[in-house]
Amino acid sequence: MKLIKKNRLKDFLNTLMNYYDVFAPVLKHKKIRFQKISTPEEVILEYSNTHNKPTELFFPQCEVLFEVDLKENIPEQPPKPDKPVIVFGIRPCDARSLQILDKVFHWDGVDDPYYFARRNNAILIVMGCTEPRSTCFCTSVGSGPMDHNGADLFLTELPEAYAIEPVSEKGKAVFEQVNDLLEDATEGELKSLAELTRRAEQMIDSEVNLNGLSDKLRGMFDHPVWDEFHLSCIGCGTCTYLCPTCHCFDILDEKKGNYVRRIRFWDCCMYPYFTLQSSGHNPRPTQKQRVRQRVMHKFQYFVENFGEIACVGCGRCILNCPVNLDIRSILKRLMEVKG
Amino acid sequence: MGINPYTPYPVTIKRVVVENEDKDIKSFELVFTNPEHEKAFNYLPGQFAEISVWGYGECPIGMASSPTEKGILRFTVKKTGGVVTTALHNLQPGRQIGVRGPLGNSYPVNEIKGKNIFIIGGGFAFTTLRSLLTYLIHPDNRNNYADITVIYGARSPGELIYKDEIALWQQRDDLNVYITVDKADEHWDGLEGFVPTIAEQVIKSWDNGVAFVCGPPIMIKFTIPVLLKAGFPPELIYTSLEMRMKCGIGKCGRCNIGPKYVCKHGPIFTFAELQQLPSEY
Ligand SMILES: Cc1cc2nc3c(=O)[nH]c(=O)nc-3n(C[C@H](O)[C@H](O)[C@H](O)COP(=O)(O)OP(=O)(O)OC[C@H]3O[C@@H](n4cnc5c(N)ncnc54)[C@H](O)[C@@H]3O)c2cc1C
Ligand code: SF4
Ligand code: SF4
Ligand code: FES
Repeated sequence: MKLIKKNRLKDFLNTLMNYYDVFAPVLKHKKIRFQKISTPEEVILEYSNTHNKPTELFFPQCEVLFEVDLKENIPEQPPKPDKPVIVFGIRPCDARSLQILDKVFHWDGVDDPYYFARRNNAILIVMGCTEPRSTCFCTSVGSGPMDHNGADLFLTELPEAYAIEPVSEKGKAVFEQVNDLLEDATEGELKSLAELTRRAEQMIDSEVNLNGLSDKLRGMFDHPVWDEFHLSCIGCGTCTYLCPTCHCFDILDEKKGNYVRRIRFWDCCMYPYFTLQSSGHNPRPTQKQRVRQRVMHKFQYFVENFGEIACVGCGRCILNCPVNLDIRSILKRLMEVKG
Repeated sequence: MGINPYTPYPVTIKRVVVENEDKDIKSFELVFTNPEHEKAFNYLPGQFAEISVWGYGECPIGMASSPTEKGILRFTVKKTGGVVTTALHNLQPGRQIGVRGPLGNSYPVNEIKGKNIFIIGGGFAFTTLRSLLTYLIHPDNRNNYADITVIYGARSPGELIYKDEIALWQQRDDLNVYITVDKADEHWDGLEGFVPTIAEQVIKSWDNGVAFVCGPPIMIKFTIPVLLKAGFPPELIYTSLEMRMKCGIGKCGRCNIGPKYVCKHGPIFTFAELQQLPSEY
């Protein structure tokens, strides 16, 4: 096992910045989010998780799909990113959420070229969670604070160093690039790593048993239980804008001089306009239907189409909902009621 | 579709036909700027495309032409008062627009060989049924299918679309064509009555048939029981669904009905499939 001593982390990041555009958690408008760093000093290391979802690095809130000059020329290729990217310090749940987005953006072999141009260009250095938040419930959705799935390199914070493990081929290459800065772990450090890994899972203190939920939900579309959840929801959409697995978007044209640019931007199933048809007909006119859609999509429809739940238990929607609508309580209630 | 499923192919508007008296339904005949794109745009009846009007955006429209009609791509569009359809209606021949597709699934033109075909349409939703009918009666294909019956109705004579073609269909002896209007006027000498009523008079038994039903929800709602009563299995009744769409390729998350995405698993569904879906459409 190799380590990077905490006092050498600066050198570690500087080395990476020679080869890559490095994105890491930084403080911006009093919130922690991933941004491209220009010095290692910007990086925030004491954070449970970022406010914004790191999936925004791959599927940004707003992006230009292409520009057309009004006479001709429709470009066929999306723009290529120039330098390879490292995302430093992404949490295991968020790394997993990218694997979930991969499925949508690759459905039936139709690749979303904008997403994959960034995705294939990036290396994820995942930081295991030694201090999960009270809203985290990753262990209930098939993951955990030390989940290596989706990581290229995996880091675990020890008292004086970070244990560093290459997970993928891409990760191994980075491992070689920083090899000079690494040291072998001592007996004591190995023990401490094993201990931390063991303890981390126990520190997740919210647990929802979701066994059989998606099968059960299949027959519950018309169940009266859906009459309860939406009552407090004000339809603000915070839960979806912060959710790392949410992927809905809208597409619009913007005219700018002789050019038209086609942009896409996040959209949200909690809004009535989302499904409003031109005729005035709206298949989901009520908040009840929209809350049901959000829950059903993540815990039933997605399972049906892709074989897994589209929630990684990051807790962002719980932490930020202005009316404290807690997805865990919804799930517990759904598990409880007679289907 | 090309490398990038979000970029449309450039096409030029060759001809615009006003289809109805209210003048809010127009057919647009389009030609591809690049012959390679025409080859790549390999479609079947029932599929749709996203039409781009630069500066206004895109909207999904079913192909009204048949792949057997080489050199031309046709869409019939109702002006809803919305952004894209209004902009499109203002365009004259010669203008360049974009077409992205083909998207979605199609009518099962191969699986239904040997069967009696019933095409039942109401209002301007007859568009993709026109594509289907044109495909089925093409000389290369006609012998693959048994009897073909067409029942088509509109509010009034002036609201029937494709009038010139209807006249040609009516002259053929290998088609049974029933054209009806909800309310006749003094010049109308055809059938009068709602589509489901006419369907009930015409279709007495299943008789190894397959039915394609498109129209306003109310028409579909009353036509399906007629077919079921005649003995049609729900798996052999097809319809085309509509949900608000953006990407057309199963990514923007907008058009699902339960676990099914209308842009990807549809827009064509059998009545048997609809019975499995939540009634949220
Ligand atoms: C598979 C399919 C086939 C269709 N075929 C035809 C056809 O052959 N002829 C025809 O006239 N109309 C057809 N429609 C309906 C047509 O897509 C809408 O009338 C059109 O999108 C309205 O666009 P707008 O910009 O004018 O309206 P706005 O109200 O300004 O809508 C804004 C945007 O929302 C989306 N949208 C709004 N309403 C609908 C809708 N009903 N369906 C899908 N997206 C919508 C579109 O992206 C649209 O550009 C079809 C719809 C679907 C889903
Ligand atoms: S954050 Fe809370 S109030 Fe806002 S839409 Fe989501 S559930 Fe409703
Ligand atoms: S639903 Fe909530 S807990 Fe689950 S991934 Fe989305 S934001 Fe995180
Ligand atoms: S239109 Fe985007 S998912 Fe169907």
